[in-house]
Amino acid sequence: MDFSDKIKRSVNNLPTLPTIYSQLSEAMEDPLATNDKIAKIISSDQSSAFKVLKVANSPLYGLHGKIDSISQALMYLGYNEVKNIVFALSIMNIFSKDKNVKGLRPVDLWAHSIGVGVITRSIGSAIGEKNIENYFLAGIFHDVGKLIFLEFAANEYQKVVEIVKEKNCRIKDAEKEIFGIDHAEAGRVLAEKWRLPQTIQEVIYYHHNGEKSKDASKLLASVHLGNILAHALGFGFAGDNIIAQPNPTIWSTLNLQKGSLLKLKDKLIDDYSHTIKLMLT
Amino acid sequence: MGVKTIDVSEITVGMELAEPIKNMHGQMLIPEGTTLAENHIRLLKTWGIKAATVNSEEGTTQVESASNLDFETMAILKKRINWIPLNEHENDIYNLAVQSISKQTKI
Repeated sequence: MDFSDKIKRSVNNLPTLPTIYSQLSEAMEDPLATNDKIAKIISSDQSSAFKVLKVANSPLYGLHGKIDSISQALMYLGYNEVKNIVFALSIMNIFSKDKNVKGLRPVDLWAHSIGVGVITRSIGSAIGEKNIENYFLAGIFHDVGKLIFLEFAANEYQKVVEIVKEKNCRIKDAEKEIFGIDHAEAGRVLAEKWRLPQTIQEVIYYHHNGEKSKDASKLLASVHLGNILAHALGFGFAGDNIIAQPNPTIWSTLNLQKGSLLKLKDKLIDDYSHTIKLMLT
Repeated sequence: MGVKTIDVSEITVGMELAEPIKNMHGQMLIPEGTTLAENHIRLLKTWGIKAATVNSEEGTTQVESASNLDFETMAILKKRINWIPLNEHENDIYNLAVQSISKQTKI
């Protein structure tokens, strides 16, 4: 049996995006939609609304408790950032949290992904990128392929985790051995089904390479580095312990100042611990 | 004068070893203080040695020397990082990993 086909078929059985998200996207594309109307859509789902407020007030955005309504969140963070938070939160609900494989818990995987989101966003601001509203989401979403494996092939994924332990290899290599494809490819299938923005699709597929052929994308380079840093800082657990060497091309893409990574460390640890508490509980 | 750890591809004739070259079993292959000649460099490549620590005019690089780390941290680090930092950012990543691992081993 060909697993890559099985995975692709299974992805088609995953629910479509939650209605709140599609309503939201639609309303945001409508030039006549008012702030109030958009706030109402979010508020119609109380648990989403509550979490959006918590995340909007997290140190990640530096607005410390100033935001007490959804319309304020929309005003201060912008439509897309709020939409991204709603999106990230709904994805977390789609995948079951109890598909445990011995040695890899979904909650640790989410912690890793949130960690990569936090770091990616900080790298975006550190390099002075103006448009960083997709950075957090791209980081959170880069490993979605692993959730697909857990959801649809938990027994085989157990074998993957055992191979990693035995060989001390990267999980993507063990996935290729068992499934014929790795989580980057599995994730892309889902990203296409959900018609995620092209940039996010590319991050999912190319996050191990850090570059896409000759395109130097700052977002992609930031997620690539964010993933490596999350491993180095021990943020969550993504299935293996290997800290990979970054693709050498990212340094000229990002043009980070000397010492930036060490300087960011304390803020990253602080933002990470706050954000996982908000999003995972 | 300081020391720096460099990739074997960057080693040139005339550099002086600040630390002995050892194989994976810990046996010494070239003693410290040796001024490297052409044949030494060829041997390093034949033996599959990936990096060497040499004396440098530029001052000590920031990579924490293996001797400063406790045995446990070193063992974990070896399993997790199999590359040599080639620029200051990679040094930073290396050091962040060292800090995070030694924090875990001390608890």
